[in-house]
Amino acid sequence: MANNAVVRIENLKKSYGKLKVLNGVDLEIDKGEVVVILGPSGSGKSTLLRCVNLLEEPDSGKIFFRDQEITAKGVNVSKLREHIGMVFQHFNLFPHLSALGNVMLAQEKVLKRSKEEARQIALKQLELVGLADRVDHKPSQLSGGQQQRVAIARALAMDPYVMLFDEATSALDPELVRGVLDVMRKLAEEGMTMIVVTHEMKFAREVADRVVFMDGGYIIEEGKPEEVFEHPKHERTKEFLGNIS
Amino acid sequence: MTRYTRSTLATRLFQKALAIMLVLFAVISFCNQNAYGLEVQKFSARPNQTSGSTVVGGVPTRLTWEATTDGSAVKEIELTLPEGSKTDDAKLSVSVLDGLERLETESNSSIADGKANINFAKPLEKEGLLVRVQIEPISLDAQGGSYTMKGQARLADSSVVELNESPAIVVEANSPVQSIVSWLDNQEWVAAWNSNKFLNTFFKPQLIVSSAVDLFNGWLMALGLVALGFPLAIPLGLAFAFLRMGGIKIAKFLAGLYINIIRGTPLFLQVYIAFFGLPLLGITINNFLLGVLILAMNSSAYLAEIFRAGIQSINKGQFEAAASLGMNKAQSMFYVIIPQTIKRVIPTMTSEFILLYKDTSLLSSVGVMELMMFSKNITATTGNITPYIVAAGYYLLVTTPMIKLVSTLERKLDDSARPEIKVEAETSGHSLSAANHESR
Repeated sequence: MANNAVVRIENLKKSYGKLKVLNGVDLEIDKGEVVVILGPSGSGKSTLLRCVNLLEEPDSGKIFFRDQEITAKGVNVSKLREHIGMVFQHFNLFPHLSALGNVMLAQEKVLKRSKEEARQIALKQLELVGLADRVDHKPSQLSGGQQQRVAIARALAMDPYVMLFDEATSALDPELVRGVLDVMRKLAEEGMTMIVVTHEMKFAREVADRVVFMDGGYIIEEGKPEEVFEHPKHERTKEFLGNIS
Repeated sequence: MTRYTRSTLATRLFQKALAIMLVLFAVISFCNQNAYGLEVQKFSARPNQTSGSTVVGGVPTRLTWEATTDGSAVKEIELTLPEGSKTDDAKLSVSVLDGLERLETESNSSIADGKANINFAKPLEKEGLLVRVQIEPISLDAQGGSYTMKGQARLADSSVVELNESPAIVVEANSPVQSIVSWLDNQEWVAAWNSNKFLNTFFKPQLIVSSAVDLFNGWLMALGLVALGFPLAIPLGLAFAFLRMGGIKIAKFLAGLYINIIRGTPLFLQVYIAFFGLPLLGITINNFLLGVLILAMNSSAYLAEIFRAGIQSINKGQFEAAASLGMNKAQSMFYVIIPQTIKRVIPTMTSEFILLYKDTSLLSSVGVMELMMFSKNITATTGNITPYIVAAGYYLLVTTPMIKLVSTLERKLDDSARPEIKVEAETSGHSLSAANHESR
């Protein structure tokens, strides 16, 4: 019971109508671990990630967050999500608020921090993602890369125990990807627990503590990046990695 | 004795009868001798206002006075003109009619010191002659009021008789507008303009001026209706939108039913049902208030759909982002979704306001005194379309700037909704289209 897992997933199943997206997934993410989930489109990796903060409701199976079963009935979902940060493919910044406002809003309304405290934390987080000079810009005045970094700051300001990255760089122009990956890399180095769904193989290889390869709603293979990348055991993994590189 | 007595009795009776007759005759002839000379029949002034049948003071008109002779020889007539009349260029004409035949009569006439004098060369002796006196142009007192014409007649034997007082004419007070109208009446270019049938029918200058003033209150009424009705419709609409999107099944159904019935039937019909139905139930509400209520109810259904479309047009990612930060549904709605929705629905709401403002015209059919009602009334009395054109002007006065506002807002919305165009090209999967535009 008292293990080190921040998130523990047991036999998770999810389907959309007849389409089975997750076919019984087991996964454990330890504190400070960076897990990168790879796999072709439709393999269920994004759905798995979205189940962790219950943006998707699993059909069956259990999810534990810091030893609390969140799939149980009567769980306060909003309360749970306070400390699970999520970064989306399309940033999803609040367009009516400035960068600063985006990072402050939930601190004030959810964590009930004072305006000044929220402001100080927001400024610090924005500085850490390299946007100290953009705090008063509206999302529409920021590039996609900058917007995504604001989104990361917004999630970090909530003091998350784990950060979920759902294809955080997929919607970005190639030249803007690096800035975001650099922030993620720094975050990993600082010991943040991270679950990352991405197509960035280089990032996975260099940053991940563990790589999980998914296909058809199953975890096909998992292991240290050098193992999975250099010596994939499974045919599907080989094929996928072959196609990518 | 008996015979004598009898004859005496008959004689006496005869004498008595004779005496009575004599007295009667004397009375009648006394009356005759005390002749009134002329019996005044008619006194009128020609309407001098383009848009109606009224006589306005301070504006030239024509007075007509008619009297019939009673057989006494009338030599001279002196008429006292209504007090305050202006007779600077006034001409007086006299005609004497015997039945349908016009008699050649010589007379001298003059107008001075508020009196008109007609001196006949030969006294009018025949009974039943119609004497018609017309004075033109004459301006009656600008203050307005009720006026009669008094007069005297001098008979051939130099006796003077007072004439009976004429019927009264009612004169309306002059206003600055009427003086402008009467000024226009006298302009050559106006006459030339009005000689064109099209211009005269749709753009008669005099009517443009007078209707603009007459319709003003109707315009205020229309503005009042929409200024009260629309703000009332907003919270109603929001409530229906939330009920319809919410989780309570029965509320969802009822809100949907309300919205569909209101949007699926003409406002005109709703107006009739309310205005004719409620009185039958013994409920009497002030016309204006009922009008406000009907407009608010109608608009709330459209606004509910506008709000719903607005909220649903917000990208799902916004709900997810808010949720992922631990916000509950109310917080997400209040701090994230509604602020974005307001911005989005303002152009559509403004369009709805324009529609509602125009729809106030439907209330004219049930007696609410708004723009349409006033213009209909003036057109009915003048047979001219100009008042409708003026009403159109009053509608446009409000709608034109608002339509401009809508397009400005929409342009702004487009700019902020597609940041990728401004900053850099990015494949952003969501479509941030504005709320669907509704039209009736």
